[in-house]
Amino acid sequence: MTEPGGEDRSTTGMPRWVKVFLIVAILAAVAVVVALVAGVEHGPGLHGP
Amino acid sequence: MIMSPGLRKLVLAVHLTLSVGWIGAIGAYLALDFASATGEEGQMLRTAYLGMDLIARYVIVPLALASLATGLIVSLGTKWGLFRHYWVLISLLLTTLATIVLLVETRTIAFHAGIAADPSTSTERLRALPSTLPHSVGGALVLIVVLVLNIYKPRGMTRYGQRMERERRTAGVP
Repeated sequence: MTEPGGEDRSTTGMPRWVKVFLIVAILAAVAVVVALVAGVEHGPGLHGP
Repeated sequence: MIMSPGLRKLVLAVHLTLSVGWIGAIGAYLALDFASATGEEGQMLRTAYLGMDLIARYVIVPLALASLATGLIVSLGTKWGLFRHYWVLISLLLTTLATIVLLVETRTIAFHAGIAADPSTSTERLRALPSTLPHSVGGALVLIVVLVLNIYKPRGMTRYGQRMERERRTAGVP
């Protein structure tokens, strides 16, 4: 949903909201990996009778 | 290539329709997913799994692919670009991730629908099918995050965006 119409606002470093987003994304990815390693049933191949 | 204002509005209208429709379709899917996860009665479970397959196959997947494609067109056809602003880049990554997970998940959904379509499948077997709720709830949350990013457009240019901006100013482009 990219919409034109705002001002270009240059910044020099990575904004705080991006850092927070990255931390949350990494934590979510780690949680998914831990769940998979722990053996949570996942994927159609594991759903057989 | 920057699109003309008329073309930009047209493509943007199509993109918004597809993207919001994608979220709405997931809402319909979630209702059936919740019914399949909590339902006890065989006919209800059978109907829910078949409905989930139809919605995913003929509504959600086409909307997802079309939304991703039109998002790329809008980004590349406007001054926002694809890699210049963090909110655009993150939106692209999240939408791509959601689409990939969706395409993988359709195998599970089709597998469940195949079992549900078999008249010999018992109600106990239908009840024992693992829920797809975590994926559908997760997908809905990811799309809402993308929606919020696209509405608020939080500030922040990537290094590539800043370099392009400097070059644009150096060249005297308004």
